[in-house]
Amino acid sequence: MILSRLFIVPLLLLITAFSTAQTVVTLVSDENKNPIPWVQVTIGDSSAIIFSAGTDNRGSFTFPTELFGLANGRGVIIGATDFQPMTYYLRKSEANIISLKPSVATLEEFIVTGQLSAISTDHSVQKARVIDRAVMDAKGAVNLRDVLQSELNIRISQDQVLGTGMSMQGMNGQNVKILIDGVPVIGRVDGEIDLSQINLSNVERIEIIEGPSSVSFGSNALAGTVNLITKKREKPGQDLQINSYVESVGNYNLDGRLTTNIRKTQLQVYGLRNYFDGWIDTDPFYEFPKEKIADSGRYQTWKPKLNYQAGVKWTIPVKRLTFTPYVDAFYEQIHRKGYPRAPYFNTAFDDYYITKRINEGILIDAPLNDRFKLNGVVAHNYYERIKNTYLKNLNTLDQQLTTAPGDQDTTKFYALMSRLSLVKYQRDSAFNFEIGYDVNHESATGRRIVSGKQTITEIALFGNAEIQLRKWSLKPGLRYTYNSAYRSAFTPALNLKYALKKWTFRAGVASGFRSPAIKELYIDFVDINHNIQGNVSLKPEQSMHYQVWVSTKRNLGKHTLVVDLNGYYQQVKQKITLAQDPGGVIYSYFNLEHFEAIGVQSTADFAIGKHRFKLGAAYVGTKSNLTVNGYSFSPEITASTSVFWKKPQITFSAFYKYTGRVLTYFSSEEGDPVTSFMNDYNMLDFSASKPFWSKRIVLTLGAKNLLNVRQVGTSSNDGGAHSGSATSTPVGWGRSVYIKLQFNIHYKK
Amino acid sequence: MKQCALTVFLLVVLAINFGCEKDELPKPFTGEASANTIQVSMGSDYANQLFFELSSATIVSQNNREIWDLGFSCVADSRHIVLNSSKYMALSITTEIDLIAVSSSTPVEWIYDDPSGSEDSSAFLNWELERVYILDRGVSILGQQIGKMKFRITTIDESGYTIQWASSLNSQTIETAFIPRNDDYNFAFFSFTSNQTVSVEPPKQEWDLCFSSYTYVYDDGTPYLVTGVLSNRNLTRVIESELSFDDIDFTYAETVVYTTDIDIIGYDWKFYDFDLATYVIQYDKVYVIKSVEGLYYKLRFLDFYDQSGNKGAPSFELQEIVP
Repeated sequence: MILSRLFIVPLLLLITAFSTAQTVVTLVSDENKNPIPWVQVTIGDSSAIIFSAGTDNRGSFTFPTELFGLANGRGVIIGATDFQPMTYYLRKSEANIISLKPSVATLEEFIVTGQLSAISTDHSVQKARVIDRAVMDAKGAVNLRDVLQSELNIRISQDQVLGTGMSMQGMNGQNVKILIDGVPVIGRVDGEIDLSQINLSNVERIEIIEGPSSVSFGSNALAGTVNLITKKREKPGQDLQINSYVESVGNYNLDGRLTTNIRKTQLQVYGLRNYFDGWIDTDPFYEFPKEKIADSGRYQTWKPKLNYQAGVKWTIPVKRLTFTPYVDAFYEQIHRKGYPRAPYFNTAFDDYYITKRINEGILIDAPLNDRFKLNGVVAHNYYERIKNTYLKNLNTLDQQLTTAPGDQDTTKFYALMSRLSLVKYQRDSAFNFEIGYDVNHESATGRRIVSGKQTITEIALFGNAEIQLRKWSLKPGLRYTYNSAYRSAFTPALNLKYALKKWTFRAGVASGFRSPAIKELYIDFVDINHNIQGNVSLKPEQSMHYQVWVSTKRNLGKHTLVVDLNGYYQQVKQKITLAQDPGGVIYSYFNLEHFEAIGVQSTADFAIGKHRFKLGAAYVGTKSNLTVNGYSFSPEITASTSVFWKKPQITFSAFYKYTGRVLTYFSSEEGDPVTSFMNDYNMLDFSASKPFWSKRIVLTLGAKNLLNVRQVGTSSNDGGAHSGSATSTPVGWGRSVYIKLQFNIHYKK
Repeated sequence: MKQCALTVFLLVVLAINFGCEKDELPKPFTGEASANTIQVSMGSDYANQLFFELSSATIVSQNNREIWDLGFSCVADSRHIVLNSSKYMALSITTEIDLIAVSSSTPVEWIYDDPSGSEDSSAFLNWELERVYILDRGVSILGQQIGKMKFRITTIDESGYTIQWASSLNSQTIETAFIPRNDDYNFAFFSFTSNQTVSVEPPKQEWDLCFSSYTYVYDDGTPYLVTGVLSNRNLTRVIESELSFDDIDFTYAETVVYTTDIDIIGYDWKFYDFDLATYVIQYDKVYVIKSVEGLYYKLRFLDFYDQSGNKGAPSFELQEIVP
């Protein structure tokens, strides 16, 4: 009965696999099906407690066989801190999975990113943000862009060819590290990872750490780290999930996932097809794709896009070890249909942008004993981007490749990475630590790279320690990096936590760095209109980041209120910028900019039973030596709610974000102040979802961008005699509605 | 019943999920280039300079734009010297009169010829005999720096110019050449690659327009390499008309005031549209041209790409204006 309610229980198979002789009990939360690590458990009957233990990081503990005489065949009461006690029949020498209801509405979330062990965000020394599957579903999020769009302190930018970029804490996306299960995502175009290429269908949880995590993750992790945790082991049996998503703007997405057990191993196979039919202001609210005349109506501001992704993940337990080999392949085609060319409108230039990604690797999880454990990954990532330009005859629809230099281009990146860390972790120990190495070998090929191919190797040793002294926690970390381009660097960090019963104070000082990218070192882009050459003497960007957090958690009867207040200051030295060389002809990359960001943010999270209300506000200022008039500040407000209507089992969710106006002051060549700005805008999304047929089907209806934001005005004005120029930048495709169906069929073995 | 309705609903939702890119339908053919439409091609990397004669509507001569460095005026009493602005050449005036004394450590301040072609805005304005000038020979078609050199003029008279140079800034080897004036031409051209005069422009009475890249200098002094049309500076006159192509008649062409600027047609009849990622023609720009023979023509551009989609191939409508 209880078992049938468990669908997503990560990490369970491992326990069932190598513990056949033992009686392993795993506690999971009834709310989110996540394991409950590090809680005190008591087992007994109404009169006495016969056993007590603490759960490990997987939410498990072993029930001693010799005590079965007392427990066998009768119900025992299982109690855990903060959870309602429940009666359960323990089965000897089997895996027992117990779903517990929280005693009060919890707001606890678990993170692994940059941690020694899975830990609740309340207890982690560093503050982190978690976006779980329920929130992704409620947002109707298909890819990372959709989910980050309404997040506080994160801003999304859209380029119709390069894709979706972001900024975090006022810094642009080249300083944000994006990881999937701890493996860096490669393929930065113009410094940014295209967020819309990162599909969420196989993602269980997104962990966001603001501020540098360079000690653990190395280059790029200056402004923050976004780690996508994919769906992992589930309970034994076969699971088939099929999701269908149709949005009125012209999104047709389908994905499926099959999980099955082969002996003690678990195999996951998944695939998806996403199609977007493009959008322009004049599009009707809904229109199914159909054949159209190749006239001026073929041009669209948001380009049509087709996506395929498929992968296999195999979890193999061997004794105490778990190996998880995986392979994931991604294909995207963007078709940029050209505007028919005047004066006769009989031809057009069409561009195709094709991106291929193949990620493969093995995750290794090896507990050595109850104190030590090895965590490792070996991964190979491949990224290829092809641009083809055709001249299309619109009368005959024939097309031919153009011959102009630069019209056809293929860029490839390969990355081989390996990380292994030895972790010593015991929940109640005053001293825990990890030490490890991290090796990245990246190469790029393309006609715009010097000699056609270049490589960079980075080898790092890192260590983190966690020292617990009563209410104080101290987490120092240090990374030593050797990079083939600029030799070596040390990156230290120190985090501090002071926890009282209701109040938690945190502070952190961390340095971060960004190694020069292959393009910045070795680009060779010289033609009639360009002369950009790489600079092999570039130094890494270096940052220092200071932050403080004050958090308070109040349990008000059945309600919980969590309020966080955060302030931070970051400075980045020798930031790499593209500039003209002193000779005046060549453009190259130089360590020229000195960038600073300062900000405050606050969130309030209120839970009443299953209802949740969240409010957030942020105020971020940035400046650099290339801007004038000091900090340029911009506000943000977010609000979200999730309300559960018990009788018809409907969950209503709404997400709102106000993105403030950004005003930047530059100095023109004559020294006059020049301003440029991007106007403010409001985004509001809504959804309602209801399960049917004992949760085998979940239907979600939603509306995105209810306030119909399409373009946001941008302008630059030099304030003097010259007039300003006004343009607009695309932000959204206007109001749309969607319907999402989730099938979830489970067969017990 | 409820189950059945649900099933139907699910099937409908799944059915509409198969959106895909549909083929386009051919668009009927529209418009056609008129009989007086001409297309010329500089090459997609703008490698060539094309000299065009209006009366025959043909290219009378063409050359690779890298083959020359300086042009020396052939007009008897003129001292006008031009830089090859099609390859982004620049000049720096030194304080020296000794070629050997100038080296790569000599301070430089680059100046450019004004794109209008006026002698009084040229880099070599009021040049002095014996004075050493540093030449930046510009950028090759492949985008590489060609190099810097030092140069001076030792004599000038009705017959021509005597020049001295060293092929690099630190070179001690001085070479000398004489460049004769030839009255049939506007300029005599000299190359520091072949160290001799080279044939570039056709005889001055035989061409009207030159399709070429050239250096445009913005108001703030920033130079930028553009591609367009320059006119025969001594003989052809051009004006950008405010009238429409059809309204321009002989009376207008005869009475309108022409300027002597050579870049009236220039480069801005097209612009690069970043949204469309292609060059777009400004059709409303119409030019009236008085040819070397004194005939009147009107011209407007239609395209910057050839049949295969290569840029650098302007096509234009050209019509003689007759009374």
